[in-house]
Amino acid sequence: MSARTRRVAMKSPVMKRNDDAAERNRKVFSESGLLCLNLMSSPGAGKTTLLERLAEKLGDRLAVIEGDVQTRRDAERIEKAGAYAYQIETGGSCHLDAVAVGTALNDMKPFPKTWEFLVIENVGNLICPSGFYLGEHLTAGMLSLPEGDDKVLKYPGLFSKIDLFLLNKMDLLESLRFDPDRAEEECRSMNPGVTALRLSAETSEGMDRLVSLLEERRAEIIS
Amino acid sequence: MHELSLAAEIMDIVRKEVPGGCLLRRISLTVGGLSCVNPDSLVFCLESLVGDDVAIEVNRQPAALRCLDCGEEYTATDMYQPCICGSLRREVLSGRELTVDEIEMKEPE
Repeated sequence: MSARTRRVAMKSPVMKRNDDAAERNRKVFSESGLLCLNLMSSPGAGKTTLLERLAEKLGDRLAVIEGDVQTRRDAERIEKAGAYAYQIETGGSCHLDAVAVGTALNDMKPFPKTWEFLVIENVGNLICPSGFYLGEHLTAGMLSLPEGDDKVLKYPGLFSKIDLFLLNKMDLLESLRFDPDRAEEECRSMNPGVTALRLSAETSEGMDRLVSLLEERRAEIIS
Repeated sequence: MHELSLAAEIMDIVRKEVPGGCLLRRISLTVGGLSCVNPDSLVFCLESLVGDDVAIEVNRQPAALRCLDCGEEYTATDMYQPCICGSLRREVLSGRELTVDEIEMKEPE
């Protein structure tokens, strides 16, 4: 007797396990009154410096989850700047997924009542992080001036989906050939609803606007 | 690189459906044009995990889009394909799918 062939129809979404975990994370954020922001950019764009400035302004209202391939360096910087930080070391993975964030959230409990904002600093990468929903209320994609004003259309997966487009290192504008209008127009061409913000984490330019924007969004989302 | 994580997730989903003694022979997938997944890279990762005896079939599903400027509905196989009017401003109707559609296995004799 010959071996029989069997077919199984599945139609199973590959991202289901991630998306189910993301919904559980989302519930934790909402129940705890936390506005969650997923911050994405290439390595060196200034995510951690931006969060140091936010930590100085928000103090114990801010918690940060740091995603890096290796080291606790970023978490140490945030703690030094005055906010809580939890480091996820991915050990090689190029992005954070919702399951890893859920494990971190469990580890961070109980949350202090002072926390209002949770920023997840994703692994520095303009490609993979945009494919994984973590349960966040808001996504931010940051581009820094030294990277060049032609980068937005090269990474459509990220820049077509974000809520906030942050242009960082504006203090370098005079020494670089970077056209901020071009970068923002290209982002809007794929993503008409995006909110664009120009800032410099180095000089704190634009940081007050970012803080008010986060406060406004929190008031809208967390009732 | 995230294709490797996705390949591992696909194998978790598939293995639950393959009873002991059965030999997996084929995995059929749908990859949407806006799923941020490179189908060739995904196939490479899956082949690395399951070997040469398992066929990997990929149905590349074009994205269905509606232009926000002229209202035209059109399909695109990648994110850069604009509407015939030139606009990239669009509503995504479908195209972000990534699914395991069907598997085939040999049952023991």
